[in-house]
Amino acid sequence: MTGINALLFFLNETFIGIRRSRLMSLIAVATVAVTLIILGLFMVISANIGRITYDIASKLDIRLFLKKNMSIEDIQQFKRKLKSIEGINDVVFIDNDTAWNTLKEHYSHLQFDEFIEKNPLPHSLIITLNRSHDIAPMILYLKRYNTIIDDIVYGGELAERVDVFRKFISLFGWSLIILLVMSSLFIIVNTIRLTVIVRDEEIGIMQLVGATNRFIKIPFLIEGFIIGILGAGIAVTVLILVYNPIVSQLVEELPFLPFITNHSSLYYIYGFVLMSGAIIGTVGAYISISRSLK
Amino acid sequence: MIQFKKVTKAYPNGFNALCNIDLVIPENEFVYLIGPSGAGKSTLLRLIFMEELASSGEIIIDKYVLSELTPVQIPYYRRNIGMIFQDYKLLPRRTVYENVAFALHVMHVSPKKIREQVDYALDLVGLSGKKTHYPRELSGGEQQKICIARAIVNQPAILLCDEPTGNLDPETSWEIVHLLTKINAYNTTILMATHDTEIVDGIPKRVIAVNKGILARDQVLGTYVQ
Ligand SMILES: Nc1ncnc2c1ncn2[C@@H]1O[C@H](COP(=O)(O)OP(=O)(O)OP(=O)(O)O)[C@@H](O)[C@H]1O
Ligand SMILES: [Mg+2]
Repeated sequence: MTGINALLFFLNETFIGIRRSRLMSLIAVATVAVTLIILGLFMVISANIGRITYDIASKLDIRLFLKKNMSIEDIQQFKRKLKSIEGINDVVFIDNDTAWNTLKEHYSHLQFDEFIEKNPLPHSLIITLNRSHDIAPMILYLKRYNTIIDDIVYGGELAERVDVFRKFISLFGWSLIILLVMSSLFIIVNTIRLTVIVRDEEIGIMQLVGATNRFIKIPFLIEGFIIGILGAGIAVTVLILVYNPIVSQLVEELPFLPFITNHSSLYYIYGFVLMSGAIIGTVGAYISISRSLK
Repeated sequence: MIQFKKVTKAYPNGFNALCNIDLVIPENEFVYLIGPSGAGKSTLLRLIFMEELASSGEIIIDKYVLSELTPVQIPYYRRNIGMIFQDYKLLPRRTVYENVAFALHVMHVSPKKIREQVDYALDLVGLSGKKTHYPRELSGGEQQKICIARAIVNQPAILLCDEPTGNLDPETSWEIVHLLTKINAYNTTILMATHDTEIVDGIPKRVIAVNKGILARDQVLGTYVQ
């Protein structure tokens, strides 16, 4: 029998099997879908937090907002002093007008101009360090200039906190996912077992007319695969439908955080979800039919 | 060729269904297997078909030494042997045509050849007109004929028949046996377990009688009663 004929035959056998245990197959598809929606959500959230952490961490410079009463003269002197300190790579002066224009440009969609008339920003200095782990002692050192410096802002600490949060989320997420994957495996194993039982007599007759175990297994494996891929398809559809509305809402409310708005950069997650579905389904079917056929 | 060398079959419960059987059946022979109920006829056929394994002794079927076959090889071995089951063993949710075709699908035969061979087999048993019927829509004799068509559709070297006329009226029984002699004429060894005195005496062939698991008689052109 040529490949295509064999495939048609097995597909036909598969659909006979699915028709005979319709309800159980439906339940199995739903379970896989729910599992994979949760899996997908965690991956999507994790990807976004990862992006945010990266964004924050990549700004490993210290920004000093200076007191309003500082003259340009004083600032230049302070800047030279800082530059001579070991561990500091560079110090850049940002005057308040430049800073204000940059900010307005960057968040042009917020239209600051409409409700803020006067530039609220002070002059500032941006310090770049040679090594990122110098940041803590450097902050400590800078704090003594509290007559010159109004506020010190740096990303490292925030990045660390976000990273801890992300680690927690993924630990929690992955344990939940493992649990869910196990339970959907369990349900698939039992669904397929049910179709095996329904077709028990038929399997016996197949063996009597010379069917190999592999031949008997194939329709059940296809059944598992179809259940898995259908569940995964539903999960991906739900994720795609839900992602854009949620993220555009978040972007509006938290404009400073760099959420992933370019949806296509998440396609690898959807691919992974589809693959997981196919694997869960096929492996579940394999476990079930192998046990039954011995 | 079918060959039994000191074959004993004890079922798991300890019952000795066959004891020390020695037997040789050459190719293309037609053999009746007779004996009272519980004598071990079905057991003997099941041993050849490898539904059961011998407890001791050696069974050799053509080039196969059965005790040496692995589970993976059994399906391939079975394709050389047709079996007509006492209880038909048809797939209830499949048509006559599909039931017969199934035995060929299992062997990965091409669709064109499947059509040819199934049509031929159904024609031979006289069921060409009922291809699309389901087994439950047919009489016992007709179901027996599907079973025969399925057993011979891949032209096996050996055909095992377990009481093929068991539930049939005399006329249909004769029809089935004539069919079997026809199949035998096309170079198929036939081993037929039966209780049917009329047939055994009416179409004389070699008779092998078992009784309580022991080979009681082996007679060329024998009769039902000695
Ligand atoms: N699976 C089994 N386990 C235990 N004992 C069995 C099993 N199958 C058959 N037997 C016993 O083996 C003996 C022979 O059985 P077998 O079916 O071979 O008889 P038979 O000659 O075909 O009888 P019949 O003419 O009634 O079909 C019987 O006494 C039966 O009870
Ligand atoms: Mg019997």
